[in-house]
Amino acid sequence: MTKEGTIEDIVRPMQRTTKKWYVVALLCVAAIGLWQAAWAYQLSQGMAVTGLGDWGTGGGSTWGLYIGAFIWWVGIAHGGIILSAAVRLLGMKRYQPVARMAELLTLFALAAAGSFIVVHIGRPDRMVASVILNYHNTIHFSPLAWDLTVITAYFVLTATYLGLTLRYDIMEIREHHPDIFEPIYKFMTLGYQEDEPEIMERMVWWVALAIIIMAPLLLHGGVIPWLFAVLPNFPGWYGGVMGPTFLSIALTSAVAGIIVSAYIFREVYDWHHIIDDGVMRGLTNWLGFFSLMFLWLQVQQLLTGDWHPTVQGRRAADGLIGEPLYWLAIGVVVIILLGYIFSQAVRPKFFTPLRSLVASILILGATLLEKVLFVIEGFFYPHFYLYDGVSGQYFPSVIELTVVVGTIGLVTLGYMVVSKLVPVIELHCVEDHGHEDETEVSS
Amino acid sequence: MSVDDESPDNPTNTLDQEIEQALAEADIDQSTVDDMVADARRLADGDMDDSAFREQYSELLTAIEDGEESLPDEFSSVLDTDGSDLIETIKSLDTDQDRRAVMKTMAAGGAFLGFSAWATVDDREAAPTPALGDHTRDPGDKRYGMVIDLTRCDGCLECVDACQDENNWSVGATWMYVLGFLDYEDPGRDVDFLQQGEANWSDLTEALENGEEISQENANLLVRPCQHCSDPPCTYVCPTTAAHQRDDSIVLRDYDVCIGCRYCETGCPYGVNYFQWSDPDTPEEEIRNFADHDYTSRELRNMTQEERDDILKDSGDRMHDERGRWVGSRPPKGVMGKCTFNVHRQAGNRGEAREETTACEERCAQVGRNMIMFGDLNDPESKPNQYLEWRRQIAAEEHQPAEEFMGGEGFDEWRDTDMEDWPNREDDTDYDDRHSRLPPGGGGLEAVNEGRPPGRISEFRLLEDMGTDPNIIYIGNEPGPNDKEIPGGWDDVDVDYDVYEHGGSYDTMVGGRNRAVEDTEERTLRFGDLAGGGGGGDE
Repeated sequence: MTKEGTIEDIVRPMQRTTKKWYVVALLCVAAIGLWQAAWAYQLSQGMAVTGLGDWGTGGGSTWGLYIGAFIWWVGIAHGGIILSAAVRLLGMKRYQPVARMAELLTLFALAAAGSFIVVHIGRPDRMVASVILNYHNTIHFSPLAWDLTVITAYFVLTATYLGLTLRYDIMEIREHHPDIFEPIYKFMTLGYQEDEPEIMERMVWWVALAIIIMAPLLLHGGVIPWLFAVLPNFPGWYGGVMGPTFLSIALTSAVAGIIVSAYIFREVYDWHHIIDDGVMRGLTNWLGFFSLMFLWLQVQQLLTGDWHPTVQGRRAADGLIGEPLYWLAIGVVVIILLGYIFSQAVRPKFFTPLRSLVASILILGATLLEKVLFVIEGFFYPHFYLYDGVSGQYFPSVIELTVVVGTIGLVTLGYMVVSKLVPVIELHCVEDHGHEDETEVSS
Repeated sequence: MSVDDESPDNPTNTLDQEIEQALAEADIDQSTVDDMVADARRLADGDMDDSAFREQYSELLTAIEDGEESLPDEFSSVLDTDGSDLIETIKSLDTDQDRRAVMKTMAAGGAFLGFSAWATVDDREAAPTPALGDHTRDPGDKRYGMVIDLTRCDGCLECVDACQDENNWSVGATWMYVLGFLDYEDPGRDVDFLQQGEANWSDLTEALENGEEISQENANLLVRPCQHCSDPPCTYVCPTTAAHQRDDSIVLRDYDVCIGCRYCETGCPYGVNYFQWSDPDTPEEEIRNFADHDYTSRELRNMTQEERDDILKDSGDRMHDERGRWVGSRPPKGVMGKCTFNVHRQAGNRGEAREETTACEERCAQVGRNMIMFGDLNDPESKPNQYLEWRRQIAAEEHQPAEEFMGGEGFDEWRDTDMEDWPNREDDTDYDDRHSRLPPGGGGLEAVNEGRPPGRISEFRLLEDMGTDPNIIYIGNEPGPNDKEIPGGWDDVDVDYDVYEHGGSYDTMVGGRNRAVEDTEERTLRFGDLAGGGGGGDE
């Protein structure tokens, strides 16, 4: 770090709120409002207002942007918490300033993902009566019931993780807090004891370990890809490579998401000395590594799908290969990887945080596109291809696109509000100069 | 199996009768067969060695191998491979009681009647008969299914029409669907207007648009209701239990439970699910009007079975089954629907005469095709099983079919009753005229049986490799992986069958365009709709 950060730096967002903040917040609220209006319209008119339709004789795509965006947000969420847990477990202190941002990203992205499930279904009013009350029966088989389980588990785990680490910070900087939030702080620090931080540190370490163990097995390397990978009737989805593929995309988009949020925070609150260029460049290199994994796993799919495959497998692979939007998504990742990330790794002068921001936004767009294509291409190349004579097409409607914008507004607003409530950078980041012993606790 | 050996319920006995019948037809001496059965057991138990068995029955074995003995052809292809396999196979059998029947079957005159049964019987109870379709459920349960004889289908779409009349599904939600299909990779075989080697699917589409004709000799038809699988993936993926299977194997969606996530539609390999994307074309009052009661699903479910039966039986209700669950007729908005095997009929809601019938089957019989047979596949006396037996018998005897399949007494009874009851039935002569044409494939059983070994009929179930254990048994040509639906709906194309004029289903295709796609697209909100100042739904 070029210059030492202070507690004052970190609590600054909580003390001052600019006009810009209100303008952006208002825009976010407007985006969320549009989404709610679109959803209300969808509920009154039925799902027909979306671009979706029955696959087969209906010539449509049964799932579409909603599910694609759901996977995308869940991927960002899972990737975010995996990275944060890795920072804590492996003692990667360099990235500690962005660890809490990653945890917050996880919470907000999970909320956005959950929203997509709610807007995706025809009768959201029955979620409790039909899903929860039958859970004991459906959990034995339904991948969607598993999905609900692990997403809830992760939400609880992440919230716990965040809640525990926040207690110390809140106690430390209570005098800086605006008075109106006092009841919230009192609740969050209920029963706080002086000797607590050490114990908390150990607890958080174990939670981080649980997250790391569960992630590839149950989350984006497990249950989420299994929603698709276990269905042999859609060859584009079926197979064991989906777990690793999903995980690679999750990590790629999560690092991109963290770069975007880190960049914005450091610009807005002048945190260049806390989240320094070294952190940004390190994150950019990680983005490159995960992008490479993502591309490698795409090659696996294309090769097995097109070398000497089954009739149905070839059709699915050819469908993907013949889809220009797929190559747009892949092309963006390739160009960014070779044109920027690898170049700056070799030649540091190519690196600028702004370029990393642009690269991250483009990669976020590419992964969203890839996820949506993955979902709809499955429906258009089923094993049972007989219905091709009545094939139709899918393009997301205004309603569906509005929801995507709305959830981006939700996540942005979430960050903005939380940054006014609690420190988005852990106090340890600026205190650690005097607290070297804490790394011992966690190792 | 604890059933008494002499009981008529014992599947082994039924099997024995079938074997005897087959052997009688095959002209093999009964006493030789009996001896061979006994010796086959000894052989399998190790009490008799190969050479002794071979010597004892050398004449019969040689005769079989040389094709001198006139066994039904269905078995002879197995024997043709290697006569010695017979002995090896018998020896490899387990000796427990349950497998005796299979062994006996195999030994019986070398008739190999059960060879196909052996291939499918696994560790289950002795198969009732290979003919009736094996199954994984408790043999005591009913297992509703259909036999659909595609070789007799002429693509009139009356079954689709009847299904719509009965269930009132909206445009595009074709619970019953009929499609014509071709192997477009092999145009020389299937499409006479396309040049060999140059054909592809867009050529076909283009040719149709230009008014060229499909080679009807080579086109095939597929009648596709829900397959009501014994192992239905839709019920496994459902996060709510709305997609469920009854004890009688009927697979349903509970409209009061479904959240409309459409995972069942995603999990189904056959594409038989239809989501209710907007308000149904037929309002709920109209559906309710069929019934002479006005109880809700909840009220019905809270009654005792007796009370519920009193209300539902013969009430005309098309929404509820005997459990009081709303599983019949078209679904409400936001919920999944599909073919129900007319579960309300099976509950007796439309009178005793319509139990064990479906609307599509009924209409098919009324219009004179009579090629859909619905019933309990576990019951050897049910319509579908009788029909299968009849078809096999015709094929085995190498003679042309009798006038029509008349089924058993029960069959005539339900059909006659229904024909009298049918209110909108058109004059017979109209139907006669419409159905005087021969179906694709050159017409009727005569052509279908031509060139096929006697005793063999082409049976298949859709996508058996998916492991779904479907309960629709088809007779006819199975669609291959390269086959595609013939794009229909061209008004200016001169084709004889409704299925081509309407593109696979009841008014689905108009002018080459898919109505289902157009209907949902009309309601979809696009940027253009916003610019035009109105939602798509207003149009």
